[in-house]
Amino acid sequence: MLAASVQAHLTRNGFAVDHFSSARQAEQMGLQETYKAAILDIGLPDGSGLDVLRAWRNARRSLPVLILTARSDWQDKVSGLKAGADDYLAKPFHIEELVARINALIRRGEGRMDNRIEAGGVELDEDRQQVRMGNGEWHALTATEFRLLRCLISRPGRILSKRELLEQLYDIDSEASDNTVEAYIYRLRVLIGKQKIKTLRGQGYSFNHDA
Amino acid sequence: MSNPAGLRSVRRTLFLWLLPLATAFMVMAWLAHGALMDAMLSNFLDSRLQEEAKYVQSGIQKRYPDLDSWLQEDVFFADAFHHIFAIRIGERVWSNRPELEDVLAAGTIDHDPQTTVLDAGDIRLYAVRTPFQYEALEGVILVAENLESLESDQARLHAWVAVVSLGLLLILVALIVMAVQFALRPVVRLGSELARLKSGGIERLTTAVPSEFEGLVNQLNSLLDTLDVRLKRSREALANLSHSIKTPIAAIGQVLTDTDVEISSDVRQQLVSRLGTIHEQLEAELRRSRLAGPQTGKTSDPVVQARELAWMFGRLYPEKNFELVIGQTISGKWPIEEQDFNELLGNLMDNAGKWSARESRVSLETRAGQFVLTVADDGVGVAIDQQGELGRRGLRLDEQTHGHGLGLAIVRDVVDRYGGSVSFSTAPNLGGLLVTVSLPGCTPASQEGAT
Repeated sequence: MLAASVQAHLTRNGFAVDHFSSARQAEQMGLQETYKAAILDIGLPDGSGLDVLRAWRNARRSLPVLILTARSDWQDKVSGLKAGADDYLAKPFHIEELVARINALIRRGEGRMDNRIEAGGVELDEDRQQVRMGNGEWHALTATEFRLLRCLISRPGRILSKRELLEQLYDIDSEASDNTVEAYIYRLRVLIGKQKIKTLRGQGYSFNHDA
Repeated sequence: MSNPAGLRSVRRTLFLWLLPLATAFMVMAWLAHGALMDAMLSNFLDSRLQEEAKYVQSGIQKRYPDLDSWLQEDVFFADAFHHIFAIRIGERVWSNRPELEDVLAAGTIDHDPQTTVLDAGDIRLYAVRTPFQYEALEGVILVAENLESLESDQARLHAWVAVVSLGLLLILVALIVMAVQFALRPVVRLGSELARLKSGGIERLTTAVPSEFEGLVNQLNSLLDTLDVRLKRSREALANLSHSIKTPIAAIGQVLTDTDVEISSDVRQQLVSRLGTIHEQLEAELRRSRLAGPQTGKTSDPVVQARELAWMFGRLYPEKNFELVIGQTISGKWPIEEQDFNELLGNLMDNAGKWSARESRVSLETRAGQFVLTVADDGVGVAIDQQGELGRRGLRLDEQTHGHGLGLAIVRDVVDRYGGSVSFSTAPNLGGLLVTVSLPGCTPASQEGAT
């Protein structure tokens, strides 16, 4: 009933919609076809929607995905986004909201690519603001952590002064100082390993791509 | 209650150790007594026999060579001297016991070693031999005692000691049993209290227990408190829920089944709004019943969870910035259950995300034993005189952003359960709303019922 209504609404809004009611079919079609966006229910009759999503992401499919969930706890949302979703909507929802979200996702997804920077065994997913070591688990980064790490990792070996790094901190914080940079470097080291970011006394920091 | 193999009862363990040990100690004491008695007796005997040998020697010096008449005349030999003795001078042997003369004569041939045991057929003699020299005379004096009677005396004494030891052992065992029973009386009492608790005779365990059980009993009691509160709460929640959703369900059902009522767009709108109410009530109760509340051993890692939430909101609101400020004094784990922490911070950040213009900031720190969490945004904020009303149930300050009130009501619920506090003010740098949540370092379980 829900799927039919969603399909009708989306068609009325000018979308061409394919509907699959099993995880197996969804996974296969997602890999075969090039869709602009996908709406994925977490609770599918033959498996978890999150597994379908992971399969797509592992195959480097970057289409925007909105997940539908009946659960409303935060952990469920976090795991949905960590599995690779771009947005979620908890049931019951207003169909207008779903359409609006899909439009927003497609707009955001235009020209989006699967961008990853890799240096010294550290992989940074620019699009999803995540980092991982080797083939380990992805770790979420806050916006500032991400900007600082991107700055360091995209110029491996080059020395970046504290002043240069300070510019990456959000400018609204008037209290931001060299100490703030140090605190963020410490946080990054906790995430990616101490030896990855070298301290050069009096000069700044550099990303160590040999270690 | 069945014990897994190897875990014996305390009483059995105590008995298994104490009783054999006590018995072993008593046996050892008895054996040591025997050995000591042997050593003492032979010392005492040696010195007495040597004394007598000296007496005999002085007699020889006075009366030699007429030793026969001396042996018969001396009153001392007749009345007091009850030992057997023999004197050898050259080839001649004198003795006070003619019937043993052969054995004694053989015993005086040599005087090394000084003490020996002579076997005289039906009796055995313990003999001390002393060589002597008097002018031209040279000889050996042998003084002996009947070993048989000596040994039977000693054996009798030893047997008596065994009887006394056994008596003492019985007393000791009785004392051990009494001590163990006495020490374990609280356990027995606890067991019977638990039985009465099970049958409904009492509601809580007595807290007047030995210090070893204090923690256990307090833990059990607080667990019972928690269960009571939880039961009460879930019943209330279900009652509220059924009360609040059955009316709209009945109304919707009536409209849909009544074929006379035409479903105009007005009626349709009403149906949708009724369904919306049902959903909201259900959601509120679901969230409330999901809260765990303070529980021993349930902690969360605030940095890890806050980072994930900040990251998630960053994904959901790509045009907005969510920053995480970690205090220098932050301690690793906070005594709040993980989902509860997520519920707390998730709702605050959700609001911040809805209201902020660009920037939201979460900070975590430990301050004077309190766990402090703040969420600030750069939105329009809330007027100071209205801040106190935020999150009070049934009151929504602004209907523009859906669900603002519900989120804060949940935050208040979580904070109340942990005995913490929540306050609202204007964010100094960002200008929007600043929410500060303080959680106490350790939450007594009784505060579970504080809502």
